[in-house]
Amino acid sequence: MAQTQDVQQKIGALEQQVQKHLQEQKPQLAIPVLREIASLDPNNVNAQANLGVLLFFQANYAEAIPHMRTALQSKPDLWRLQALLGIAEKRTGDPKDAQSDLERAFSNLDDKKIQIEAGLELIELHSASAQLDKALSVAAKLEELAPQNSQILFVAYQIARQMMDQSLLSMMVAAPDSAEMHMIMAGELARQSDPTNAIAQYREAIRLNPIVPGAHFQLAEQLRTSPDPALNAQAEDEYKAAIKVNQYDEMSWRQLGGIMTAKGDFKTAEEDYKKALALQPKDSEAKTGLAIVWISMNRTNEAISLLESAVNDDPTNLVAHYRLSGLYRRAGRTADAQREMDAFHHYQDVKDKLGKIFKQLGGQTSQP
Amino acid sequence: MSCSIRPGFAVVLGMAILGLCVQAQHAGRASLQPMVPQLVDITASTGIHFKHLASPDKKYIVESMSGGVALIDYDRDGWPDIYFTNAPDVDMQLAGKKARSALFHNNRDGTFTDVTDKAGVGYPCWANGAVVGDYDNDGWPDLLVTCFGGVVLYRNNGGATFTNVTREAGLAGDTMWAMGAAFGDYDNDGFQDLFVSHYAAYDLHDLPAFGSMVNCMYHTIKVQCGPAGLKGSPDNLYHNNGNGTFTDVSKQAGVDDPQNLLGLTAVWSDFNNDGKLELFVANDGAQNYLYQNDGNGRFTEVGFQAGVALDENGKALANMGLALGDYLHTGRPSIAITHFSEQYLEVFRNDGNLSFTDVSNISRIARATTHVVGWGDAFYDIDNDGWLDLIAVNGHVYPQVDQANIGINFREPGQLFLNQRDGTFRDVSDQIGPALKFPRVGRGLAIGDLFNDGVQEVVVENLEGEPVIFRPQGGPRNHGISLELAGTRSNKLALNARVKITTAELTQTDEVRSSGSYLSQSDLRLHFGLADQRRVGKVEIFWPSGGIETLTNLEADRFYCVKEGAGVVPCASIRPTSAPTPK
Repeated sequence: MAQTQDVQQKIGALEQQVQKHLQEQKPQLAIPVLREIASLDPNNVNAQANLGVLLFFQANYAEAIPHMRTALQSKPDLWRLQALLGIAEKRTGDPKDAQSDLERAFSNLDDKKIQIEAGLELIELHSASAQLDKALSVAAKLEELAPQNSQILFVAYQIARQMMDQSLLSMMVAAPDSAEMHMIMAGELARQSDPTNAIAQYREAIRLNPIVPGAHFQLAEQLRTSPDPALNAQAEDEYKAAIKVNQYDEMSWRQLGGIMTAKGDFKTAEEDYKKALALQPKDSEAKTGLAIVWISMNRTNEAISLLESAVNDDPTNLVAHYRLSGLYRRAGRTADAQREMDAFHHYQDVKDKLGKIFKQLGGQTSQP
Repeated sequence: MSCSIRPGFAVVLGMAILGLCVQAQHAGRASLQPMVPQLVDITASTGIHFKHLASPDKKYIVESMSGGVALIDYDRDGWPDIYFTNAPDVDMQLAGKKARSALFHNNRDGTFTDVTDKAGVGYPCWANGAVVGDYDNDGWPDLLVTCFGGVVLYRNNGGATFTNVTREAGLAGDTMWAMGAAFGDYDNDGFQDLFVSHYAAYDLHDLPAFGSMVNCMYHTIKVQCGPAGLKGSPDNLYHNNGNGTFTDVSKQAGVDDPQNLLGLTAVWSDFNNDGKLELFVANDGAQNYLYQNDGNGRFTEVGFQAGVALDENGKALANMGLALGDYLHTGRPSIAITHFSEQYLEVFRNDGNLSFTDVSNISRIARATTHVVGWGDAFYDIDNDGWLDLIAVNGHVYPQVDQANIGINFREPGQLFLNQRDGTFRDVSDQIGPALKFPRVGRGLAIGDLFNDGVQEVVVENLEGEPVIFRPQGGPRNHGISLELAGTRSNKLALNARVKITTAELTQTDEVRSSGSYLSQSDLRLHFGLADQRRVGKVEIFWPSGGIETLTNLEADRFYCVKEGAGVVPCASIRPTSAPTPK
């Protein structure tokens, strides 16, 4: 009993030394003291945990791991410690235990900084073992935590690219001659600003499978944005073909509305936009399109209401802000017009900044 | 005094001349006239031989932008003469070689004579555009040429020669790439001020290499660099001191373009009929400027509030040529602006109080103009029915598109849209004969009654090759009336005087303007189509000085010369006849 008291007293004295060293920011002096405590009392959770942490931050992961494990055996809800354990295991070549510990800790951490650190480590483990769905799930949680964090955004981008590559590889192996494979090729060509060959690939996809989902719509988009008037003229039929394949193709209805507006067929345009909105009532672009039709038909008040709804659904909708500003101005609602114009300028600035970055990415300009 | 003209004039050669007027011959015509006049290429018969220089590859944007044309009655004989600008390419310029601009004198018989050398206007500079004004208010129209490297002001010495007075006038400090220019008396002091818009800050010794960057690509084709990515230059307003000199007041007036946008055509007009001139500046790839005249020598830029800065969806377009016209008979000038391909010819309806609506789509203009690169344009009553139609010439900037197989061509047809009298236009480009549809690389365009027969010709300067003169033939036999104005309290050329004419059927308005179209100058005389009306009940003239003059019961198919405060006068009395006093 007396011996136990002596040990406890000694431990108490050692703990005071530890406190002193830590206050003086001398962890290297605290470590041997903590070792002594742990040897005197192997079940001392505080000593084991603190020793593990101090060794971790000394980059002595191998020695830190057993102390952290011991502490966690006694007290499993030390989530920060478990996260550090997972990181240490990762850095000592034990990815399996590392993933297990980090996964367990990640969902329970309440410190944002540590959660981000643990999440990023976990994503590395998932990506390395080709568990991209898990990596994406963690990245999504991190984006929620820190939406402006460039490191997280970059990691998410990398995962998406890896998933794309993985899907492409799978497609190349499983169905190299499929319509879908040609759609992938077309999409890549379009991204590389090669619309001519993209159009050819979409046509090939449709030849192989006339009802392959999305092919008619994507082809129509390429045709619509081509500089060639002859190709532009073919877009309408492709949107119609897309709707024939899938009458619930909301975006095709919307684009048809735009084509009919440009042709001056406002009645048909109105019908098309209404069909789009019946399928997707929150489609800000479709609302804007329909509002433009109504402006052309002198149904100004209806157009204003719809544009107000459009900017509510999508505050970044530049066209809706600009159109709304014009309608307010003509209605004598100067303050409202100015507010919408200010919103327009704000989002235009954002868009311009994005545009400059896209250009640096190697995008093509279609106009001077 | 008036000069009689008749509709349906067709034969110009051998025309008899009576004093300063013309008794145009009424050519016999078949009874069946097509409802749409045919635009006929009469260039060959005019004897005009001129070739705008152009490098074949247009490796630099500066080689794609020249080509303004000016109608200037420099000898004040009542017959419009023609000035074509010219520009070298970069290699020529660096080698010290010059391009010859040209002045063609109207021989009053359907032909023109090259008088460039005698007039002394052949080598102003790397010439982009040309506009007409009367900076010394002596009644002799002067010529302002915009240059890659400033402006050149040619003072009219009295109807035969010009003197380069750029330095004496205080304009030599302008050394930037000037494109648009317009004379206008913005402070109503009786002297014409001058606005000059500038394009990019561009150094011929440090040129962006062809196809070298993302801004040097058109779709997938390597092309000249710009205008995207080019740094722009500010604009200048020069106040006329009334003594033959100008003072730069750009900053204090608030029109100096601190954003350095890429300025092209500029026009003065009283858009809100308040007696004070507004200034409209078309900017390439950016918002247009509409400067409201505050009346104290200052302007407020109201383009966004007025709805003319961007297109109807808030997109900045490549604004190039400017046409102004009251095509709806509202008494207010609307604006039509030409643009790049995959954009459209934009029509801004003037709703009054400096509020405009982009009606390009509902006017049926947009769709027809989406695939061309538009330059010179004008509201132009081709059939004299009293309703302004719209004409535009087109032509790409990149010759490389011809090899790219992307469905567009370097040379493009011109277009004509007939006013349907309900706010819409009908594309009749396919119905007016082959001449306008012939593919060209169009740039400047000017409208004027070259032969004083009540028929307005269209003069087009092309970037490559020879200019074209179109003359409408056939169509309905409508009547017209033309007015030549002279200010007394107002500036002598009566720039920005507004005229409102009323017949039993219609009320029309127009304004005398310097500049317009693309870097060009149309006839300063105003012409109104009258349809089948043989008489104009009332003509109201709103002089820049503030005076309003009313004329009544004017017979159609005549030219009238009107002097401020004196009504209709003999034309000789408003035209200077002797050389101005040397200054």
